[in-house]
Amino acid sequence: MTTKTIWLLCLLSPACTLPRARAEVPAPLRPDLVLRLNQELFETQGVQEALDAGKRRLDPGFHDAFLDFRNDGIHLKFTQSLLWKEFEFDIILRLLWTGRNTFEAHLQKFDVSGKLLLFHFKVDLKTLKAQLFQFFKLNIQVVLLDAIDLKYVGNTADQSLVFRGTVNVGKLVPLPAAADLDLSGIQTQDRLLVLELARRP
Amino acid sequence: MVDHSKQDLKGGETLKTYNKQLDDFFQDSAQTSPASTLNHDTGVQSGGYSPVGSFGLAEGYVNDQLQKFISELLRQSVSLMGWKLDIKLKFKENHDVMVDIDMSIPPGFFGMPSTDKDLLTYHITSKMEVLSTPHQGYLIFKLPPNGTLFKRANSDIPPVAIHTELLSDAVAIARGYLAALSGDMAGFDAAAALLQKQMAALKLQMDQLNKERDRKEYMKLQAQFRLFELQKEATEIQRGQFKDIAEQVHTQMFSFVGDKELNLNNLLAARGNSLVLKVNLEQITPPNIYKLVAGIRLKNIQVEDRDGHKELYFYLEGPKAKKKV
Repeated sequence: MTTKTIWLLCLLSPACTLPRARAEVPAPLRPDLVLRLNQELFETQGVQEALDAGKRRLDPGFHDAFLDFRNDGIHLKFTQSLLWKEFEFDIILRLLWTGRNTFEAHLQKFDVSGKLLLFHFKVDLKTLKAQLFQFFKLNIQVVLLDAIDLKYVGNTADQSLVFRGTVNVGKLVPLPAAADLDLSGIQTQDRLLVLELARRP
Repeated sequence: MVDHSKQDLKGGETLKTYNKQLDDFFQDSAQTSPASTLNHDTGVQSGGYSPVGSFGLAEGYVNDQLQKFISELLRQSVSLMGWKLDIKLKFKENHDVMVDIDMSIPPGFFGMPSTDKDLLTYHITSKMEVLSTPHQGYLIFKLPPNGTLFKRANSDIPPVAIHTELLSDAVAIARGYLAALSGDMAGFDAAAALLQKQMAALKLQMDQLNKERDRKEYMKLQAQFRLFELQKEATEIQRGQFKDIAEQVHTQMFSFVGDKELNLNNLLAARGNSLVLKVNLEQITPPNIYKLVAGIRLKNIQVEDRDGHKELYFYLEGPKAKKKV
């Protein structure tokens, strides 16, 4: 399915769910250590200041962004200005653990106000994914410093794939005794980002 | 109420300051956590407390780490005295932590000669309530006054309850040992100095005696002098052995907590029936998160897997989030 076809489908339906390639995910390990981060950590003044400072990496029309961890994924709401019109985006980004210390973020669902106009301006899905990546990266960098490395991979055939993350466990849990742990799961729950670590089998 | 958030426990903290802060804490009523469970799929905790961040350790993982680092460490250090020691923790849903200790002591340990070759084996079970100071990394292991049971292994004799108010005495006795394990050999030096002083006093007494006339008394003092001499030599040998162990302890502890400056006495204190362990949260939480979750709260949470497996997690929690989960 091409980007344009997806957009067309999205314009015809109330909310769009993107088809996602089924990744071969290994069986999750039972976590030995669990890190649960409340959304409040992402709503501090520090995060806001970093977002303001990093805004040059985002499209100037991208504003009023709001991140919300929910059971079904990360809900992102933001407004995109296009000429005289503002469009409100409501997006669900799902985190998927893919293996040792790695995870992927997939664009699960999105809804846009003023679809017809948006269609005329042919807003590209790739641009949207790049915006989401930059916004999420800024948030993660402030809260978890360089414990998680995010790489944009939104140009692949998988229309839903936005970015891949690699976790540096040594920076996430500085305890030397935790050196034998790997990321074994990542998920979002209501107002929580949950990182699970397990010993290497 | 004491504002613990204003207390700075880093850097050149003295034991006096540390003890003062603990006193303040014990004057405040120690906080207890309501029993809670966690729904693994929704992340919702019962009990109504939603921390800004939390850090959970699985029971199995904690015990494996304990075996790997702490027990091994203790085994090495107590093996000098012929002891055997095994420690295991069990988390309970009501936030208690059960400690099982299997301890074997050679019969001659108490200073009396023994021909019995079998080790005396004991089993100690203790129920601990784990608390934390509100704003700094102190873990408080509170033992109920009669909550520690002592039992001879492989015996039908019922276990005996040990009154844990004696804990302070035990820690006081252990201070020299902990200092030696931390690399501080002042205790051995003091023991050697005392023996030297006693030997000097004996020498003076012996010089005042007439070797021929007070032969019996002289021989007695000479035997005592020789005993002190051997004890002093033994102290020197022990000092060397402990020095080696202290180096191993330092390596082990460094690989466990990454602490370059190790003083076990600063990590451990006792107040009545409570044992206080000072934990540096900065060493076990991500650097940026630590600043936000500096106030800790502890609880055991039972997590049920999607496949029905239940595991208890020991959680260190940050301050309450403003918005309720």
